[in-house]
Amino acid sequence: MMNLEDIECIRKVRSGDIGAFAVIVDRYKAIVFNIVCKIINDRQHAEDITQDVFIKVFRSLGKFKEKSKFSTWLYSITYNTTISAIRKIKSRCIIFNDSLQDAENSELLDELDAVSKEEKLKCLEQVLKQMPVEDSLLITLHYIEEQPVASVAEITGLSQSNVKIRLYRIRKYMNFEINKLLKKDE
Amino acid sequence: MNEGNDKLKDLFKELKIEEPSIGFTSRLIHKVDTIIEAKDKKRKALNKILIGICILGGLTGIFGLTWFLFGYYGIEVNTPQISWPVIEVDMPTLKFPSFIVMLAIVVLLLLSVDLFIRKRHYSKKQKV
Repeated sequence: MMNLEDIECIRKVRSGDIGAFAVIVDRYKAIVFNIVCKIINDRQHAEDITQDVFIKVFRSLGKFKEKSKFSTWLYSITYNTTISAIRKIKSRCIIFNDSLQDAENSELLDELDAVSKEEKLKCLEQVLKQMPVEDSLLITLHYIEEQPVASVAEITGLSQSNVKIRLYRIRKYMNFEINKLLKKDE
Repeated sequence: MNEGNDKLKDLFKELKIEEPSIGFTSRLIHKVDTIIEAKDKKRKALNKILIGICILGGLTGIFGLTWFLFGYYGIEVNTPQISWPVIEVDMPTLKFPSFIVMLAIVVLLLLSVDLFIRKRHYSKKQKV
């Protein structure tokens, strides 16, 4: 079940207490912003999307069923809002299959352990931002927000097996791309 | 891919945590306030329209039904002793007995009083 404090806040908001909504925003703004920021470069745009997410939350709070976790519901709104916001500005579409043909058993190479952490993180961010937005969000939810596969499936509306397959492919692609970038820099 | 020894996952954990700028919450709450205000205005306007429709519907119903029933059953309202003067309304085939006209005036008055009381009650509630 969801955090009791969340339920109380939501009930207060439903009865017209805006202060309780500010509590929810303060509690979750960093989480939402952090997810969005990992997907796009522009901080201002990320803030606008975060704002849109919370406005959608406020508008549809009446539809929220208290059966599921509030955070799962919030992640779901974040996922959908970010996808539609990014689709509006550009089409980020990479066909994985071409790159993956060469990406057999792709893991981050041991020989690249010597590369500085900063360099690796830079490559990771670069790859994350050039990937299709749905995949960037999927891996961000799983790795950064540490959401289990079942939750990711609930958030995205995909089946658990589909999430597992996609996560596998995304990991493979990311490892391959990071290795490529790091080798190029060497 | 072995998740237990996932270097990518470790790398993800090293990523910097981003926070929105200062004042984000207050800006958002201000926007929410604007949304609530707009919603309130819309609701009030809709209420006014609904009240208008209800009054018009009620009046039409009262007059229409009375007219129809009286006409259908061929009822003529005549009080036993007082002979009411017949007011002739300039309509093709209709003649209204003054009793019905008076009844309509009373209904109108009652509706106006009802509306007035409701408005007062609503404004008192708003002040509280």
